[in-house]
Amino acid sequence: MKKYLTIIVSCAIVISMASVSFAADTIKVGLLAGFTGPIESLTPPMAAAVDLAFSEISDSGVFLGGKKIKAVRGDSTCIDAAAATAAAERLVTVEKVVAIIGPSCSGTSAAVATKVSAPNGITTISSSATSAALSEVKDNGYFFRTAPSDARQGQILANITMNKGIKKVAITYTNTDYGKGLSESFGTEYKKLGGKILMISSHEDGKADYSAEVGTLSASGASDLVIFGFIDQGGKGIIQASLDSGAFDSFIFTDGMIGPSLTKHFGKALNGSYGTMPGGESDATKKWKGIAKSSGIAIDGPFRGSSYDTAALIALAIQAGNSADKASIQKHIMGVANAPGEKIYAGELKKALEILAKGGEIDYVGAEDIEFNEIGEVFGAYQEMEIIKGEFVSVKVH
Amino acid sequence: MSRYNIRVIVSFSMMLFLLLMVGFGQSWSLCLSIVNLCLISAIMAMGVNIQWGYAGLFNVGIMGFTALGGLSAVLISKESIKEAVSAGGMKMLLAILIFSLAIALGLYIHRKFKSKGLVIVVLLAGYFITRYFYLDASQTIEAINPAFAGYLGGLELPVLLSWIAGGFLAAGAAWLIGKIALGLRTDYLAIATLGISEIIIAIIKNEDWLSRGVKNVTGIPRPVPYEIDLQQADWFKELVAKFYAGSLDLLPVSEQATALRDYLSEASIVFVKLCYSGLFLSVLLLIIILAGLALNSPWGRMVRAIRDNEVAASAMGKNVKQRHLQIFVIGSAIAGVSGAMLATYNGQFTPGSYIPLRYTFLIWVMVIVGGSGNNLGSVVGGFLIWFLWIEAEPVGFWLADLSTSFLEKDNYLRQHLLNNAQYIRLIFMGAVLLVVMRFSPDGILPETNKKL
Repeated sequence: MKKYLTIIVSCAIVISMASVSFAADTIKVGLLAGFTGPIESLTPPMAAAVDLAFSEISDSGVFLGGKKIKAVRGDSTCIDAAAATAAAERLVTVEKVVAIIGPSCSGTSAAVATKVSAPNGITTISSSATSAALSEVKDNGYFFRTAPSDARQGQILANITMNKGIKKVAITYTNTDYGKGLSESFGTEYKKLGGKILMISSHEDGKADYSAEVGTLSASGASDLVIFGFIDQGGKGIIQASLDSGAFDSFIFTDGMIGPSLTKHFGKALNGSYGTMPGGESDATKKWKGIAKSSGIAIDGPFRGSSYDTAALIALAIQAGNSADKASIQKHIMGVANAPGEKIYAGELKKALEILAKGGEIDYVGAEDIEFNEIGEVFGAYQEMEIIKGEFVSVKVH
Repeated sequence: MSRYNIRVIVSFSMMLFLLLMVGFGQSWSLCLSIVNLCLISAIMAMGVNIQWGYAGLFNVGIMGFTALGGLSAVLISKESIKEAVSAGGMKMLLAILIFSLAIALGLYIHRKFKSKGLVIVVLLAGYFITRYFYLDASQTIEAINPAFAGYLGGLELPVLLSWIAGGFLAAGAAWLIGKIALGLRTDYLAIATLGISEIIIAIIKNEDWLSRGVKNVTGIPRPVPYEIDLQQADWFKELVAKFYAGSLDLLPVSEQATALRDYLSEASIVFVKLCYSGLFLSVLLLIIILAGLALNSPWGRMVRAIRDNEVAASAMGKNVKQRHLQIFVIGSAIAGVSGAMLATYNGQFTPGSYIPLRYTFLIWVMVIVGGSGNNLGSVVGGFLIWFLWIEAEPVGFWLADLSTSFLEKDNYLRQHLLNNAQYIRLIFMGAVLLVVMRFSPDGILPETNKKL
């Protein structure tokens, strides 16, 4: 039994010491993201964007009169609601974070918002949960998101498609709340505008071959294929199978499919295909690209800009209330994000902190043109991206 | 005291000690949320243990049965969508009736006339008529407010009923599956159940009229109060103020309001979690008692005899097939109950989150580590594995921090390890399994009455 006791005691010591402490003048913010699980390849750049914003704030020297701010990480696993809430609880009750950035995925977001954020009164801002159903979650006013709801992106894409004179499409979506939600909002709007959907079919991610799916889709007689999927998953497989069989050569995308890895792989074969991704005025995007590039964050994927914005918003809300108290943060989030006030772009956080310290007002625009509605969701501006000469080019902002 | 009894006492008190360490060292709300999931995991593990430990049935389809339990939580407790029910409810009912009728008729013809051709004709006709009504009904239902509803909703009954209903739903599915697949020998049964559980998930993911499919159902009603309501209830406020009166008095008056607010939110969370713990614990105890009685009854001896030597038991006149079916149904029903409890506790049903790693293989690790064939072993396994599943993350972070503390702050290796500390969870699971298998091949608490 002595052996067991030694093991258990050492375990216990490890656990009780496992909360790493920071200096007292460092304010901690939880970063709850899907570090393991299905979106594990998306999260490291998102986390890097958060760290970038926080180091900008800390280095400014004017944050709460010279304090520092730091992200403490927790794993939301993206799929396991129980593990995500436990991680959130650890961040709130053990690490004593004042706000949470995340969780990354819509399912875990709903659980954390109702079980941790609302009861603890902790402001929680997700930078990547896009499910439309999250608008209805009982969060007591503590859950925000800087990634726009899928419902809106579908509508905008339907309008663009109609304006291009495309009257008949086939749709394939990844069988997740992301793909399904988009296909429904796109379908409703497109039909309302007089378009015809010849075929809707779902695909499962992670398969080796999608020629069967493409065969069914092309049998519908459509010549344009709308893909609501993921660039590293089934979406790419669908395009590959379509090009191989010659079934489709014109594609319509959303944010999950837009990125240089797509154009790098298929090159000019996709010329003329287009899609939408969240992103604001070209000014805001330009500035964000500048600072992201100089700090080594690849901007070719979704949710990096919104992660930066989320981190910046929390710090600015702290500065606006001049207190890292959790209730004060919630009270000031809307104020710093919305007009009136001086417009603040990515990389100008020091200026914002100085204005706030003097009691002035700011209107945070950030990387992705943040503006909250009354339930704490962004309206979302979208860029229309078109593939010209084998590269994604931003054509217009909607 | 026998060696085994000491082992039981030591392993349970160690588990208790670990949880208390979390409570005192980290926080009570974290401790209780671990405990609650430990209780649910223990019940899931008991379900597997009854199948594998008692009867040697190799079921790797636990995921499907827990998902059916979760489905029942939605169907029993969610508010019904009036528009959808009035628009498509009758049609859907008709489709289901016709479907069942076709099956019943097919069975009747098969028994009475033994005509395969006629059975096929009846089933095909039934299929096409069902499909006609079903397609219409499902499209009508799914078209109603798809972003927030788009399904029939539930029966608006108390959610606790769904724990029982989840058991029955899973039991029904298990009976059907068992009828088809239980003739298979161990490894073939494993492959069949793995496939069938994926089929169940695929159905739930795609039948939007039933439970919104991959669009998830959130806001499943709770059997316990909401924290926010408690924080506003006068009796609770007074209770908390009285409880913390001592420490509040020590603070300056200006800080008392903030401190009380924090105490209040913490107390409400702990209170709600304790309510859940009470419910889960009573289910677990009930199942332990019933399973223990069954294992030590003549029926239990018969089942173990079948497990250890099927041919001999069969020669003794025992109905092997029937016993296997019974065990399969009972074990799956328990998995269904735990699935309904999990959905209730999470307050949501998200079909996309059912993956075999989490809902089948993790549960198997619990049974193997705990000791297959021993109910208390499954409980210890469930507690230990879930505890490590959650605590691996802070420990991993601490280990990464400690082992690289001599390096520069922005050293590549240090940064890399700190940024990937979360992955230690999976390494941990493998390591624990290996260590236990090496030093105690029968699990932490081995089966006691192996010899008949």
